[in-house]
Amino acid sequence: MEHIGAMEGAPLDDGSAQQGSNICMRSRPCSSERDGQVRAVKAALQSRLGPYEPVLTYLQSVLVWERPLQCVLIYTVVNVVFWFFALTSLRLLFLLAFGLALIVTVDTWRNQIWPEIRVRNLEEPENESWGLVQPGVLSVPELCHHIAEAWVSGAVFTSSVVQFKQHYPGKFCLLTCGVFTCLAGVGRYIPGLVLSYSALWASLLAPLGAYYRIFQHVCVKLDPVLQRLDFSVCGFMMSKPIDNQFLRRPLRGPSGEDSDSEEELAAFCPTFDDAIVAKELAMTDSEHSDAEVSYTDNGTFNLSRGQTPLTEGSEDFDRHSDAEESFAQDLQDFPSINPDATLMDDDEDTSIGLPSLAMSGLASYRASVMDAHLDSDQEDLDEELSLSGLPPASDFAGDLAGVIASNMIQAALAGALQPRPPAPRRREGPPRAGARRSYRKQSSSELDTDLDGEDFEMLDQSELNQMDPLAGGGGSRRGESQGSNFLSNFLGKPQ
Amino acid sequence: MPPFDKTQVQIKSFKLRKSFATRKQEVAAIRSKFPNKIPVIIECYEREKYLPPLDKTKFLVPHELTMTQFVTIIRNRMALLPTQAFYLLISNSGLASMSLTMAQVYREHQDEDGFLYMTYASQEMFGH
Repeated sequence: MEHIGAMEGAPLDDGSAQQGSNICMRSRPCSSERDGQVRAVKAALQSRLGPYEPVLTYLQSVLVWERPLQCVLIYTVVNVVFWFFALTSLRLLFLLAFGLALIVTVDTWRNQIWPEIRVRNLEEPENESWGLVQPGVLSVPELCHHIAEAWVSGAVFTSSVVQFKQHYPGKFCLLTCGVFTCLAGVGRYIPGLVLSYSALWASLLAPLGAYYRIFQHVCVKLDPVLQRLDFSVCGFMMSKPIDNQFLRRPLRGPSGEDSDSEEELAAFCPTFDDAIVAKELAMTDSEHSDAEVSYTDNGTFNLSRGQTPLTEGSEDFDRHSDAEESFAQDLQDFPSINPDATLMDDDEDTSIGLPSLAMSGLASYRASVMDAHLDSDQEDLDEELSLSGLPPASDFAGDLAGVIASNMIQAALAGALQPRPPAPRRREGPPRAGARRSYRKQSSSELDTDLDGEDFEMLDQSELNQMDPLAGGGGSRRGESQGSNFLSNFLGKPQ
Repeated sequence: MPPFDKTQVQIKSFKLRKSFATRKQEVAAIRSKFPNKIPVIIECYEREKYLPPLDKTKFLVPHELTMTQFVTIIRNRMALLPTQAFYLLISNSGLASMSLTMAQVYREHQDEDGFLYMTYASQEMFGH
């Protein structure tokens, strides 16, 4: 304990020198407190072990059998030492005292006497040691990192055990008694010599095992066997096919970052409450007619300008819907993971460009955005159409969908600018006028970004708020939107 | 050696710290001691902001190591995150091919004093 305390005290300057750059180091995802501890211990260890890098590298390469002769030698030496201690007739106290005396003497010699009497080595005026680069062998910083990790984990474990003891003395007593009873049972039946000899061999062979990743190999080999066992136990009862077993396995495991389990996928899918879905569906039905009316309004408006006859536009829409239908047919061939999610996706995907479905999509956008005003949108849409000229007939429907989507976004942005509780689903009078006004302000500057509107399909309020500086295109508006964000947060989010 | 000294000498580059004769002598000594290793000096780019300093400057590298392996080892040594960029520039000639072995790199780019000088940076540098 004292030893480590001294070590932690020593390299303070070093740590502070490295602090700025260490921000971006490996253990970033961990908690910062633990991270700091690891860093401190690592710096301490590194300043201690740095000069011994050649020795450590050599030792590692010997232990992983890169130099077989030396390895055999070191194994022999260790065995001889072990058996000397095991078979010696000397008493334990004598050995302990003698060893401690020896250590103190050597320490004094190294630190006090030797620096006084030795001749200064002129070849190395500053003892800047060489770093040894060897593939497959841990360098000293890595070694220090691992040791520091282990040390800090141990410290955390100890402190949590102490806490456990303070909070639950009874449980702690039972637990420790159980563990020590097990150990006592082991010690009762297996001689200590055998135990310590096997521990010695385990520690000698551990580097080799780690080097060749024996543990991982064994795990990989054992995994199918375990799975088969799992199958044979559960499979009979549940009568599941084997591929299902494989699929379900990562679900149970606590980790598994790359596993595509349903739970993890569900985290990416929006959660749908049944009541909300029913409400939105009802709204879709109710607003469907409204949307269509305004749609035909749009068409007549175009007709009055003499640019697009209604029939031509409808033909275009039909053609587009054909393409959409073929697309939607192929959609089913995609692998589906979650039946619910697939249903939802299908619903939303087919509503991209289909006129009738687009309206339902529009309505759902409106339901989610809650500030979209279709009539004002339509007027602005017509403005834009007349400004930007008529797009080619084949692209017309797609562009129209894009324009409508972007109008939705802009209307929503305008709505987000209004500092008011966005509770009601139905439109209201005064904010509507305000929304229209602020939207008008943007609309002329937004013409060039309108084509990108097709990309924004699954927007909700939070995404819109994030996107606001991009879509709004004004640095001054950023502050406003943040203010409205804050306000909406303050007043409580919709729903 | 107190850490204070260490940070101070880190500012000056290795070439400025030691005279040519000292460096040459050092290379001769280490090459006679380890004939199958290449003496490499790795220093931080002076305007580097993101990468942590290496704990050592002088490295002994086996001949047969490729640049890829070498870069990986140095990255591990610095405990870099996988997302952090790291470039190893050779003396003054920029990036070397990653498939070259250290012996080849040493043959082409060794300094007059016998060291192989490398600079690491988080960005490729222009006009260095």
